[in-house]
Amino acid sequence: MKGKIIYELNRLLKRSRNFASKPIDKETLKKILDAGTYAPYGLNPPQPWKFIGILGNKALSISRKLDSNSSCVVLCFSPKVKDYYNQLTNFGSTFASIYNMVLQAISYGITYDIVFQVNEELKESIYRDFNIKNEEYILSAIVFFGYSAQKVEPKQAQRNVIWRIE
Amino acid sequence: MNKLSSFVFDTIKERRTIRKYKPDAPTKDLIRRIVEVPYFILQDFPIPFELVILEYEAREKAVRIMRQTYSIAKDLAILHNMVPDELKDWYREYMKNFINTLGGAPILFIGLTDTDNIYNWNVSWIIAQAIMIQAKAEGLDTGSITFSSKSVEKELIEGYLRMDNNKWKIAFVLNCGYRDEEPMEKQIKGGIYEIY
Repeated sequence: MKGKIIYELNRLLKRSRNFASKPIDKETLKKILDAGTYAPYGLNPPQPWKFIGILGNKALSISRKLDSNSSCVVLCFSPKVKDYYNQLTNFGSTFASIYNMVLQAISYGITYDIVFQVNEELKESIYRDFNIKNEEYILSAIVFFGYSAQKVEPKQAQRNVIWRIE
Repeated sequence: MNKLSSFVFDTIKERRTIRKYKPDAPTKDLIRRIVEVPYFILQDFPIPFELVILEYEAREKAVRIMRQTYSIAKDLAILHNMVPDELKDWYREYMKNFINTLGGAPILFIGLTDTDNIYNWNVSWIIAQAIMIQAKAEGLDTGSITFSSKSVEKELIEGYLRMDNNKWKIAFVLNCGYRDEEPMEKQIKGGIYEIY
């Protein structure tokens, strides 16, 4: 039964940049961020990520620059490390936690989108506005959250083979 | 928090990295739902991706290849420094056991993509976490096996999985099965997010 519930929520994963005007409250955003902190982090305790949740006009000003109308934005940073494999592990942990956040959001009827790369100008303004040190953190992703402007239809599992059992 | 949100939060929170498994194999029906979850992620983020599921002797062969790298022991040794003094003896035994068996899980998931593109790597880890959470909801446990050895990776991809090593790279290796240990308490430290 539990498996079926999570499976059905996964079917509702649907990227969107066009959200309804209903705002996400701070308590809900906090729960979404809390879910993100329970991802695996391997050799990098304390957790190898830093998240900044933004609500309201400040969020809108960022999302509008990225063709979205979300008023709830999460900036996701991974710490910079010298070792290549450790850096990959940090990125992996950051995106594992983004999945947690997205799944938690869906349970509230909230949809999402992820931007993986932003232009230098926007990146610089984010580092400046939120006092992030460029030499310490990499902006890995920006996640938009919002209530969907239209009904989200569950996805169908495509059963063409992308996996095999040995 | 509504009932559904609490359930999702608890499932996420209860997922822990497990390094020691019972030999009991989960049923094919449980595994089928887990391996379908990547489809939903890939529909939102299409990347070259293949998931290989290894069981029984196939898993043992892959474990024998992966055990050739010292990087697994090296990573565990780093964790040793973080274990409280009173648990260090126990942890050394635990490390030895893990290095010998890689946890003894009945199933191994190997996720492959073209990791020359960091975007593919990042999406692969969204998939990895989705697999781990779905497994948790099915009553199963998981744990990532990390290693950093190009020669071992090549042997696994080309020699064993018969895939093109120039096209595919390993994004993750996950154990999956029923836990045979209780993991240590997880410390979630403050200050890792802020809200404006």
